[in-house]
Amino acid sequence: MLTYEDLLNELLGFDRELFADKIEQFIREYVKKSGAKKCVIGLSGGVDSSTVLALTVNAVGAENVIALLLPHSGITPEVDISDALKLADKFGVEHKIIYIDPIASSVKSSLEAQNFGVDKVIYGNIQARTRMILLYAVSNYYNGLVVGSGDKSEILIGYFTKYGDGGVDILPIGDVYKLQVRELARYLGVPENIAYKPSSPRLWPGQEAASELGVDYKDIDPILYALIEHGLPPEEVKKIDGIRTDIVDLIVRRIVTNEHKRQFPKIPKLQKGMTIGIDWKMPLWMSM
Amino acid sequence: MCLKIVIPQLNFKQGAVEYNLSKMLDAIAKNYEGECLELYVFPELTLVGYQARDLIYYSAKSLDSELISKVIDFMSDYPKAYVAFGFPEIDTEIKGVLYNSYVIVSRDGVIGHWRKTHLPTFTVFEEDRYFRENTKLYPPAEIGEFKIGATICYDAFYPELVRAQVLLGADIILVPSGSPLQSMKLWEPILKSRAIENTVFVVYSNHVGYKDGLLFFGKSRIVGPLGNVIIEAKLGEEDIIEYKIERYDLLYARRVRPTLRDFRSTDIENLVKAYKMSKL
Repeated sequence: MLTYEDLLNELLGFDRELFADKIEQFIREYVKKSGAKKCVIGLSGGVDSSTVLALTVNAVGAENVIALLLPHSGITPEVDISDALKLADKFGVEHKIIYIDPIASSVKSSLEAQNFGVDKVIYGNIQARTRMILLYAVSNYYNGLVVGSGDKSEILIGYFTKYGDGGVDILPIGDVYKLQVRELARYLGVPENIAYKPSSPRLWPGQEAASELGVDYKDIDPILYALIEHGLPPEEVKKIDGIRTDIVDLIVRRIVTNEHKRQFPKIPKLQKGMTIGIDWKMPLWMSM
Repeated sequence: MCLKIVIPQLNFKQGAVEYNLSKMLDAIAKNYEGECLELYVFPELTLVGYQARDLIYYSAKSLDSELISKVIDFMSDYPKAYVAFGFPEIDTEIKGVLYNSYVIVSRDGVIGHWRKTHLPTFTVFEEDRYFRENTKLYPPAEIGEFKIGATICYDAFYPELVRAQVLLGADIILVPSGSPLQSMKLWEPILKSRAIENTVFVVYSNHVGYKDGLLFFGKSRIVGPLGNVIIEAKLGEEDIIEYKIERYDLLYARRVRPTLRDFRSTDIENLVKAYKMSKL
């Protein structure tokens, strides 16, 4: 019988060298095919963006990467900024700091002037989308591409802002679970304090993923792994010894309700030919 | 005369027929020596690249097309060379019907032709959307003293198909493939088993590089008739491998592990009986 320990061991037993090597090849090939002149990364000081930065530097060289630190005064902890700066230095990557609070608060005031209340979730999403705007502006400036930092756990449970941190060109660690990202980070030489820092989108003061979601990735990841990599139905996952059975339904619900964040917007099919997102099946690079 | 197998493991582009064709022919021009007979083995759907999706409709060619003639003309400068490659084939008689096909071409024309039978349509694969499944048996191609058969990718998962070609005399089985990383471990026992159970050489040629997020893992290889991996190309990257096939390896294998001598027609008869009794 499969146990929580088995799942955790299998999850953490992944081949770090192979994962790193193949992700780097993915970035290298994508950059080459797209003709991008620069890889633009939003560096938060967290484990995901730090890992992506390390992989991208290994793939295309530090001179082809720029890191943007996009903190919000009063929300982004100082330690994140100093961690991000240290990491950019360690990997020899050029970096710029742009504070987003003037932009995000201006959006907030414009909405409030029209009596649209901006609560912390709305303001959190405004921050994530502000960062997206800045990343794409810099990417346009260089004729580059935005390298995203979403991991498989977040993408599955929809723990990201649509067109915010979800608005990127590629997701190099999008098939790597959060607990694996931490180990991959260590393998790549990301400092321990970043690799094992508690996850947080830092969209309001004190926000942490574990308290917001009500569960830790140590609980979430083995459940996702059983559902996705073992293909077990939720009822079978609940029978796994050591698993938190009380959160299986919560996780499944999050996966299902967030599918809209993972798909191209739906289009009603009207024409006789192919329709985007329905029966339009083309490779990304169309050589015709 | 000796026969050298050459596998140029190259990163072909999705849908870029002209680009892929010149990449394929360049590899022959660059590596041709002309001492032995030389068989260049390219992967499944070489010319359209694997995972070309609906671009397949735009890239399909018939066996009597200009594209095939172009390859034949090219080979006239390389008299000892043979090229094995894949492409989406349009049926010349029933227009619009496509096959996932594989050919061997020399300066004398098309000397070998196979169409895929088992079209993977699961997980990342959608071949049934494009191709008609083939149910015919194709004879092996003759190159010098060797007879060459081919089972295209997933077809090699069906030992009956390989056995049929061996019964027709094939002593080298080509397995052109378009296989992503998650299938990598499955191929190891499959290729070795097909070699051992028939005491034949198995020549595996796979795509490499990322196609829309899928990494094609390469690891093209030549497996000897006792299941020994003689030579293997790199994981996921361009590479080239070659090996001179020795007839003696076949004879020796058939002496020490005579799976062909010990094959019985009842093996097949009972299989047919069992199939008729089954509910599949």
